[in-house]
Amino acid sequence: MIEISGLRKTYRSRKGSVVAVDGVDLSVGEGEVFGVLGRSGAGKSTLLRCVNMLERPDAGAVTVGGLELTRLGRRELRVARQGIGMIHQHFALLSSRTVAGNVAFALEVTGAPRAGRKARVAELLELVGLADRADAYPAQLSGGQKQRVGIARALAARPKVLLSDEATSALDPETTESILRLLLDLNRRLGLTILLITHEMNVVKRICTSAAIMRDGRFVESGRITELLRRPGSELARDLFPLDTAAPLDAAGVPLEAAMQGGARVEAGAPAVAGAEAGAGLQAGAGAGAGLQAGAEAGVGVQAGAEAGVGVQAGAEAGAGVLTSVGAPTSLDTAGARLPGGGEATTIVDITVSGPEADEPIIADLARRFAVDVRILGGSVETLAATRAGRWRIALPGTPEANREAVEYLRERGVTS
Amino acid sequence: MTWSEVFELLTPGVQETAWMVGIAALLTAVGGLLIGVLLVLTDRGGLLPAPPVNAVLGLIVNVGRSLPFIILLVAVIPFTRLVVGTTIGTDAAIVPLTIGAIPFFARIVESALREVPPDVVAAATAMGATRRQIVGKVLLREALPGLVAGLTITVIALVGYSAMAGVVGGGGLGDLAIRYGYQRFETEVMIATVVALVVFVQLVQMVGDLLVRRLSHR
Repeated sequence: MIEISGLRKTYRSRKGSVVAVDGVDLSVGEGEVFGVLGRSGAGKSTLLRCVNMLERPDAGAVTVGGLELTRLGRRELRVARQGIGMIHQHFALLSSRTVAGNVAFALEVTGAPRAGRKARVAELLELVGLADRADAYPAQLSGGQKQRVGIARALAARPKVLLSDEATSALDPETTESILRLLLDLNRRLGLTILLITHEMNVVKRICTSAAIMRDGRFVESGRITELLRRPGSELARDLFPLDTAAPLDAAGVPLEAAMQGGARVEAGAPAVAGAEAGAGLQAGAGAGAGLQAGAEAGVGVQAGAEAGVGVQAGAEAGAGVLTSVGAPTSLDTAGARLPGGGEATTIVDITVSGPEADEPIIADLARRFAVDVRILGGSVETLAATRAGRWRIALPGTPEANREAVEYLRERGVTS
Repeated sequence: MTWSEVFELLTPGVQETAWMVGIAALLTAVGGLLIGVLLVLTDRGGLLPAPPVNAVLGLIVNVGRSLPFIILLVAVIPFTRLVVGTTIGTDAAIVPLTIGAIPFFARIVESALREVPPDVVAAATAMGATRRQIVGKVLLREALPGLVAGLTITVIALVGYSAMAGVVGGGGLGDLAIRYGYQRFETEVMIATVVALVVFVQLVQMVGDLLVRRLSHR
């Protein structure tokens, strides 16, 4: 439905130029809800505005519904835009018109015959649940109601595609939830294809079937959410299930994430201080894991996580010349933490499940089959728009070598890498 | 001079002032709107970007704004003669009044139009609206309360200008105040003129405020 290839947009000013979108390829299938997730300044707003040519891209092609917008002239573009709805962060309603008037505006623009307008406006307001507020002015509405007017207006010309520019970012959590439900409902009932940009993970979690993470004008990763979750080192999976709050800190208190991303080992050799710090980091992480409500949802004793933390810390305290290795949860899902000086060796594994397997008793299977005392250090299960998914960090007693078969089993089931 | 005599003098004065200000305000509204809209449209990033046109328009407006009205009044005398055929009387005064007020109002129009959130204009563009629809149904309609408030200010400024026009033979309350109050020390006439002017300005402001309240739904 939406095809974007090699999209590039640079803003030039006297002070220099800023590359807002730096070569983005994107494909949104019919009926999909695609979310572009990124911080402010990542270029996602520019990307969205390039889809309906509110911004002319410098390079690349944008095709919506089989029509290559980048090749169209003014007049054709104007008509093409009528088939693409858009909703805005700050609603962008006409303050001088009533709710009904705002929706009617969209019909006036498309040149819909005057006679049918009133009925169509009523139908649209019914659709978004605002029939009783038709004569109110936007200033008299709450944020959520304003966005409903925005949605009704965007749908007036029966578009196949809806662009959402941070549509829920100015709303409180409950209102966000109700707007997201409405969007999902429209997506299912009308087969509406939605491309949205947001900085809220929650939006992606709730309604998106596909997603991309955007940073510095590029897509860091993109694809169907079920696939992204399985991809080793997926940032989406990591952001969705933030296990790595457990990232150990270096001496300056900075997370060692950077070093860990490459799958490098964090070695705190001879200096006992460093070892202890790494241990403390692990403890913090385990503590965080214990706090996760989702851990309880998984039906596993939360206590285990806390115990693990304490255990690791104790080991680190005792250990002179501790060697702690922590695998990067992003790219190296298996790691061992050996604690010499009488300390017990542990193998840490991150497992990610999605779809039907999210409901399978994987950890119980593992425990039964290999007779290991699996401890959960952290994790959660989430119900997403497209699927159910879970991610846990578990600890197996013994060295990685000793646990090779168990890890191999998990790999075969495709839940770890 | 008795109060009834004062009244006899005052009535035509008020009528002349109302006529001058009324017609000049009408012409100013049209001219100022046109130039104000053009200033916004031709701006960089506007709907019809044309920086050279914008620069020239801006310059003309600034020249008009930088001349004190009393000087403009004299400077446009040849033009006034060309248009009206005379430089004396209320009709002749309308020409400099309009020329003086258009740049003033044009800037007010420009800033009122800029108050319309760019978001709203982008939304209309995204819906596939034409430029004409955007100007008419979005920019001017959304800015209407601001435009009416601006026109109120302009009309009141015109009342002030009209008194100066009176000095050079334009008639109206200004003329009255100068001839009777200043040159003949008729205090009653002076007081009556002041009261008339205050009432006039009050009325204009009240009507303007009422309209703005009616139009504004923010």
